[in-house]
This record gives sequence, C-alpha cells and structure tokens, in this order.
Amino acid sequence: MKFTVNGKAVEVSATPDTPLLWVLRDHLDLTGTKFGCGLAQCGACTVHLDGRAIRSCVTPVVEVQGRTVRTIEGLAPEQGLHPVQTAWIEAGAPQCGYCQSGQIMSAVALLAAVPDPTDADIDAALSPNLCRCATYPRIRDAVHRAAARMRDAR
Amino acid sequence: MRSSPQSLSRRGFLAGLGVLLVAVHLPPAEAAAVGSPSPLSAFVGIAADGTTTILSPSSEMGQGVCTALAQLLAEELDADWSLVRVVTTEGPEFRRSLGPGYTMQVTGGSTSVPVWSEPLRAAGASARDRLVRAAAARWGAPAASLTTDAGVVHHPDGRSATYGELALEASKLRASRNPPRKPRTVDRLVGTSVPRNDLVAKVTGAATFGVDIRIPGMLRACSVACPVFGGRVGAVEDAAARAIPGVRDVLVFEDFVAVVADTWWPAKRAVEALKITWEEGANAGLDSAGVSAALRAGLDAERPFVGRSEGRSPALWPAEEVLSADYEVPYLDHAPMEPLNCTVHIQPDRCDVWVGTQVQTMVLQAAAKATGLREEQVFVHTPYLGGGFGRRGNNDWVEQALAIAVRLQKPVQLLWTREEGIRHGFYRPAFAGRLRARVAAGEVRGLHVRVAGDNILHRYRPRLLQGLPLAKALPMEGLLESSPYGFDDVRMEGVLVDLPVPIGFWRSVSHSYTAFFVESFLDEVAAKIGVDSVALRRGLIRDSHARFRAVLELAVEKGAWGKPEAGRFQGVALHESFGSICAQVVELSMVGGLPKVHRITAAVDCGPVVNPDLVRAQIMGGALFGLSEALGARLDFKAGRVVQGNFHDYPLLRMKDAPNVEVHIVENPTAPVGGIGEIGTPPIAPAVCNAIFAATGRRVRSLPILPALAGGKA
Ligand code: FES
Ligand code: FES
Repeated sequence: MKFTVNGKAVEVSATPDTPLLWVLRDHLDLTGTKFGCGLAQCGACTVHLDGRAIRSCVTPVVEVQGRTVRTIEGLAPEQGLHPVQTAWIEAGAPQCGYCQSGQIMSAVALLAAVPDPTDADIDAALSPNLCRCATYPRIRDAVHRAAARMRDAR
Repeated sequence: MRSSPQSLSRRGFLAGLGVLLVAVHLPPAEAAAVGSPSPLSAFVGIAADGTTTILSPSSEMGQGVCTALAQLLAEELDADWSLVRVVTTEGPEFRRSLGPGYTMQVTGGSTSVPVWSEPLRAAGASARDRLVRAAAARWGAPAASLTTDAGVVHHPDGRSATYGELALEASKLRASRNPPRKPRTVDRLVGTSVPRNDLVAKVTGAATFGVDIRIPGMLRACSVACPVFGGRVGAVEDAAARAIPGVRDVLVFEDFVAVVADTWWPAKRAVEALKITWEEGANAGLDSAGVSAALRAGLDAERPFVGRSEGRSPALWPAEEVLSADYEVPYLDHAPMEPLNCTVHIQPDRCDVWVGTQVQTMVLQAAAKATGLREEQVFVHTPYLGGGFGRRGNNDWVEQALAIAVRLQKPVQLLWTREEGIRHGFYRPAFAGRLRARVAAGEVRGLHVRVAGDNILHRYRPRLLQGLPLAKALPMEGLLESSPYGFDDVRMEGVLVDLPVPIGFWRSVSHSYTAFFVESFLDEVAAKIGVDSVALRRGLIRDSHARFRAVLELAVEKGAWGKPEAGRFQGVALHESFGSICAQVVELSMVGGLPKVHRITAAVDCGPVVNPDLVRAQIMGGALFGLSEALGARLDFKAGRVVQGNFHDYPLLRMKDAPNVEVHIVENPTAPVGGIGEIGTPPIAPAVCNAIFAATGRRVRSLPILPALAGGKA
C-alpha cells in the first residue's frame, strides 16, 4: 500500500482493512495521532486526507492508497510552528494534551475552508472532537487567535 | 523528537545532568553522590550549562502540576525559569528518599500543591544556599554579602557567576540545616501565570503518553475481561482469532483473555473473534433497577452512621415544619481520553514499567510481586497521562499487563479498547440522598441529610479501614465541618449499601453528589419560603466560615446575579472541597425543553495561588467536566453487564454545549494552601439544576439532567 504522509512517499504492508490510525501509529511510528474511541466518536485520531479532516480510526488504509495524508507531525514548517499551534500556546489551551493533536488538525482544516470563523462555525467544526479535560473555551479562543494570525500573515 | 516528563532515566539524570542534587531528607553526602546508583532522593539538579532539572513527585495529567511544583522550587532557588526542565520522579528512589514515614506516591485528592509546597520550597532554598556558599568560597567573600538573581550569584563588586558554573562546587558542600529563605514579598515566579512547560510538546504531537512508548521488539496486547463483575473465564475457542495475520498468541488467565500480536489492530480484531464462555458468577443478576431499589432501601435503614449532629433530633421536628425530598445520582466512569495502557519489559535482573499512573508505588509493588524481583529492581516510568481524574489511581490494567509480560517473557504493551475501559471502571458510586429541612416562621432552622451508597474505602483496604470513623465519613464529604451553613438542628447521616460494582475516586469524589443534594435542596427551600437563593445562603453561612461569604459575593457580583439577559435564567451554588471554596453562577435558557448553558461565572478561594492561569484552567475544566456528567452521562446495568460502551452511549460534553467559564480568584494569601484540580466540579450540577428550576419550575432531583427532563423523572 503506497501513499504520501507529510510530504513523504511511504509503503506499508498492513492488511487493507487496517485503519489508517494504526498504520500511522504502529507501522510508521507517527504517534502524535491518538486513539480515543475507534468509532469516529471522539476525534482524537483526526488527520487530513487530501486536505480534509477525517477520522483515521474508521478509514481503512486501502482508501488512502495514492492519496495524501497530513498528520500533526507534518503541520509545522522545518523550523518553528504552524500559526494554529502558536495560537494554541498563546491561549494556553492544552491540559492533559491527549486530544489536542486532533483538535488542532480539525481547526487547521476549518481555517482553510473558513478563514474567519464565527463561534458557531468553530462549534460545528470542532464538536466531533472530544476533550475530557474540557478545554473547549480556550480552544475556541485559540481558533480565533489563529484566524487573526493567519489573516495578518496574508 | 519526543518529549516527556519522564524522558530522562534516573541514571541519565544523575550522570548527565545532576551536578547539584538537593535532597530534602537525606544526609548531604548521599544526596550529593553524583553518578552513583544511590537512590534518587533529590528534587533538583543543575548542569554546567545551567539547565535546571526539577523532579516532580506528582504525575502530570493535565492539571499543570509539573509547572506549578517547579515554580515553587525555582522560586526559592531563584532559578532562571527559561532553563528549568521538569521530569516526574520514579517511585522507588523517591519513596526511599523521603524515609519510612512516606509510603505511597500518589497524585490525587487535589493534594499536590498543598503537600509539596513546603518540601519543594525547602529544596530550592537549600540548593540556592549551597550555590551562594560555593560562590563565597570561590571569591573569599562572606556568603551574606552575596545576592542571587535568576540563576546568577552576584558579588557587591560586580563579579558574578551562573548557577551552572557553580553547580559542581556547590554539590560538594554540605547542606545547611536551616538555609535562608527568600522573603515571600519578593516572589518572582510564584503567583504569576508562567506558561505551562508542556505546551510546545502538546501542540506538536511530540508529547509522549503511555500509549506512545515504543520498546524495540515490543509486542501489542488487547484484552477482554468477563463482562460481569467478578466473573471468570470458562471455555475459550480461539481458532478464528489465531488465524488473523499478525496474531502471535492467545493467553487465557483466570478472569481475562489477552491476544498478543505484532501490532495492536490485529490483536483487537482477534479479541473480537474469540468465542469465550464466561462463568458469570454471583453478579449476573445485577441491574439498574436493583441498584436503585437498594439505594432507596438504604434511605430507610434503621441505624445510620451519624457524622454530624447538633441541636434537636430531626425525629422531634413538628411534621408541619418539615420539607423533604429524595435525590439520586448514577454510577459514572472517568473516561480519560487516553485509553488505559501499560508497557512492561522484564529482564532477568530488572523490570521496567511505563504507565500513566497516579500511584507509582502500587505499580512498583505489583511489578515486584508479579516478577519475583526485588522492588529495587523495578523501574516505574511516568509519561504524560492522557487524563486521570482518579481512574489511574487503580492498578487493575497494570496487573493485567504484568501478567501478560510474565507469561510472554517479551516486552509488551497492553492497550484497552474504549469499551473495555467503560465496562471495567472503578466508578463514581451511585448514591441516593434524603434531604429534610425544618422551616419555621419563614426561616430554615434545621437540615437533616442522609446519603446511602457504597464506600470506596471498603474496596481499597478492607481490613484496615472498615469501621474507622474516617472511612465511614468518606461518603459524607462536604456534609460535615466544611459545610458553611449553620442551623439550630443539624444531622448528617450515612448508610452503607454494599453493591457488587467496582467503585473508586472520581474527580471530587463524594463532593460530586453531596454538593448536588444540598445546594439543590436549599434552593427548593428558598423557593418554598419565597426567599432569593443568594439571600438564603447569605443568611445561613456561619461566622466561622466567613471565607465563603467573599467567594459567594464575588461570583454573585461578576455573574450579575439577579440581572440575567432577557430570556435567560440563573442558578447559584457554593461548595468547599479539598480546602478550597468555589461558588458558581450559571445562566441558561431552555431550548426545546432542554437547557442551553450560556455562561458560567466562578469564584474561587484556594488560599495562596501558585499560578493564576492554572487555577483558572482547572476551575474551567472542573466545572465543564461536572457539566458533562450532569447533562448526559450515566452507567446502567443489565444482566450483570454495563450497558454503555463508548462515547455514542456515554455522551461527554462537546464544544457546542460548552459555554465560556469566567473564573475570578479571591485573594487569600495567608490561608492554608488549598487544592484546585477537583474544586470546580461539585457546584456546577446544582447551579444548573437551580437555573432550570428558575426557568421552568421543574426540580431535577436525579442526574443526568437530559434524560430526567425528557422522561419526566425529575
Ligand atoms: S479514535 Fe477516531 S474518532 Fe475516536
Ligand atoms: S486536553 Fe485532555 S482531553 Fe483535551
């Protein structure tokens, strides 16, 4: 099975029904993407497939053949951080941090589609992502900060 | 690159970084032993480049403790904060370093800052003193003439040396008996919102959680236990499971079955492919109706434990003066975001365990027992915890992982499914409460509360604890002396209802329901006698509990009590837990018969504040954690099994239902240090239910709220 992860071509020998999540974590050792439920209920496993946010725990690897995957590890440029990551730090969003990779991947996808989201846009785009530490208000703040940063950078 | 609070091994720490080590209770010679395999009994080390490594005795599970504890030590050390790194210490060395009186390493009960403030400040002061004396020796100057500032020692003539330059010399000096302390008035770090030290790791995916541990040659395991509590494995048919590519072995134990594979996915699929006949045992008849009936029977029991009694017995209250209502809360799971997992590597002379735990000592003891090694040969590594909330104060899955590793004799990582986690928890116990008030001449003269449910301490150390008043009082936390309210007649009672469901410490423990019972019922009483909810509380707060007034008033002021936006309704609650006081004002509207919470305003008095931003984060998270379970979550039982299994039927709060939480801190720097991790949780359920009453006239007396409103069970 061949596809692209974070700009690199990879080939893995998992069975076709293996969810992308486990290919990333156990075959490619990209452990930033997390397992939380396995049922598309929590968003911890959110990655981008051809730029769209998907739940990798329910995406068989066969479906990503020949396509492009981006994970939390592929977000930041060589040096430094993605503006969404910087905004997350500014807002002091993470607590335990376990959900945050998925939250950030959902936010990046949202901001690509809606550069200046309202609270309602954020609530809609990020409600698939659970945070047991309930950092939601700070995540909302972080998304607004990220939108402002990205606007300024344009 | 990975980052973890345990990314340095003990020996790596000692050999590579630990030039200056400061022990709190060890003789200095031993404490300063650098590079030797002596017990790690220290809290700080400074390398030649100035890197200051602080050892946290507490696990980082999101509460920010690795930042707060480091602030305390770095303050007295007068360290350069930009050079501070934090790692969670390992169990055995740490425990031994503190001497025989300290037997358990536990992160829980909101105790980290209250317990560790003083030892860590002392360690920082001792280290600073040695650095100053090293500089004094170097310069031939009196130590008292030297000053420190952010990692540098200064001579009055302008000379200076960094801590890194002085660390080696300082490590050779004996620690002073009573090293000088910095005056509190010059605190530079403590009391400020320095950013958490784990932010970069946690936004880049670099933070290492237990589930991210990778050991060369490590196999993966998935396990399933009998769905009926206490049941055992009967027959196992495993041909289909073994046929799945990647599966190495199927291991059958007394009460669970594990599949081991090269990667986790085949192990999980193979577990699903097993055909297991369980010996379900005595609890196969357990169901929710039975639990409820047992709790209600508890409310009518003959001889309760009396935890507090003042004035006349409620038995003598005139019937016409009595108001009464029964309340109930369900079992709840902790459901930390990171499913439970544990990695074990056994070698002939040592055993390494990597696990997100709140109880390193229990892990250590279990590993020694399972492997037959001595405790000194066991190394417990604590990566970041993907949430704890009390669940990781148990050791059940660790024992499974150890049993699997002993059988396999290969490094192995056990990872539970979410379903296994929800169905085999140590739950917040279900409880019923009967609340009675005596009201005469428009005033509340008496309060009589009886709670009935199971006692967590009976599960932990039965022989030791059963019967002790302390143990009997645990389910009544929040009803006894900490309660702010005074009445002519008070009676607080507890009834033990023994149920076959595993229970444990869940964020805020008994406060999670005692606050709901009392703060809801007081609102009922206020409505009955036609008094404003806040006014009623103001009148009932005892003079001995004056701190509560300031907290209530601040929440009332900032939350604009009495002046909700149009179409919105307010509720209030006030509760003390773990030495800190929290009041919350909630504003909500009803949409299609269900509550939509718009705003939560919290005030908190936790005594001295180490890091205001962490306090705000914990109160925010604690309140929304409580809102989560108040709204929708409950565990049901049917045919001995937990009905729920994943987030579709154990619904947690999502972004769209999470209002902003405004947190205001009551400055109280001279009070004792209070906890902060659990304090935000207790008041939210009653505050929301009180607001629902204000909106609808309906009183929710059983949680969670949404089914109660939908089913008319309120
Ligand atoms: S693990 Fe994929 S959504 Fe929860
Ligand atoms: S930060 Fe802990 S689950 Fe989101």
